Amino acid sequence: MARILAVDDSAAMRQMVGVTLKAAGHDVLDASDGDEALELARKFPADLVITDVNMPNMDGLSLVRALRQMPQYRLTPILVLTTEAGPEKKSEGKAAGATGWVVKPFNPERLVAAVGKCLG
Amino acid sequence: MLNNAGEAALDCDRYARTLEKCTELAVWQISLAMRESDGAVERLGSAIERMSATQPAIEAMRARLAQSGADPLMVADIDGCMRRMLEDLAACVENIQFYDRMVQHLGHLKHYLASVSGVYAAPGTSRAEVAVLEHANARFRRRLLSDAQRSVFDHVFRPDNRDDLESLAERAARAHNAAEGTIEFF
Repeated sequence: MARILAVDDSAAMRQMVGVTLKAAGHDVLDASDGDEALELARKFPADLVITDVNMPNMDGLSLVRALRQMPQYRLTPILVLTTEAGPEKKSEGKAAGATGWVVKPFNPERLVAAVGKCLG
Repeated sequence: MLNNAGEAALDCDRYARTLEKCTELAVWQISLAMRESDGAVERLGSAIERMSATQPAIEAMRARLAQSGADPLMVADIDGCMRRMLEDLAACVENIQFYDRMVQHLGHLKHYLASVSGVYAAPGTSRAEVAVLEHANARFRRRLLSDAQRSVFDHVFRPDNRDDLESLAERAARAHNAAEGTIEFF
């Protein structure tokens, strides 16, 4: 069982990521923006982070950059979960330090498989 | 008593105020529609969470039944029901995400309409008004969620636009659907 931090400003999305990953046996913490996620990430070290891109206060790619600055998150898998499917945004995500890019709406089975792959 | 020019100016002013009110009406109707469905979708999400949480209890029940020497057909029935329930749950999880996406899209549209409605209040096409519209358009385009939405936006503003936007939107949505759920590792 891994501890996963799910970050999305939409309550419905947080619920659905939670349902999917809890059913797969993971412990899920959630945050509604990058600021809240950073605070949680400091208090409760996560094994994997899944983040949306467009959020108030701190967006997802800024969160990825901020996490990569923290020694304990230098190698932690970070998946970006977004409606954006364009190559430009993906390149931005890669440059920020994301591990992978998942286009919404996610398929639960495939998300669980992707998380499993990241966690090794 | 107004002369012809004065009456024309008055009509123009009334027309501008009506346009502003129409836009304001659209903003608030969008807002109302979003509020009306928010609570219901939150409750739907909670129901999905609860359904998912029953899975371990059903599995434990099935194991007890199997151990008690119950009819294997009954156990197989439970397995079949469980499989169908999990498939339906997965479909719920996947499809409820379209609501989230629609809400985001409508939210951006609402802000866009609110920002351009002020321009209607002051008739004329001064540089400042054009700048406000251009800024609102650029911001709205930036906030759009997908290439499909952006392609519809771009076609509307193309000077030679003669396309049937309904079928363009359908094609664009279909193209975007192909990317949905894809996972790419860097």
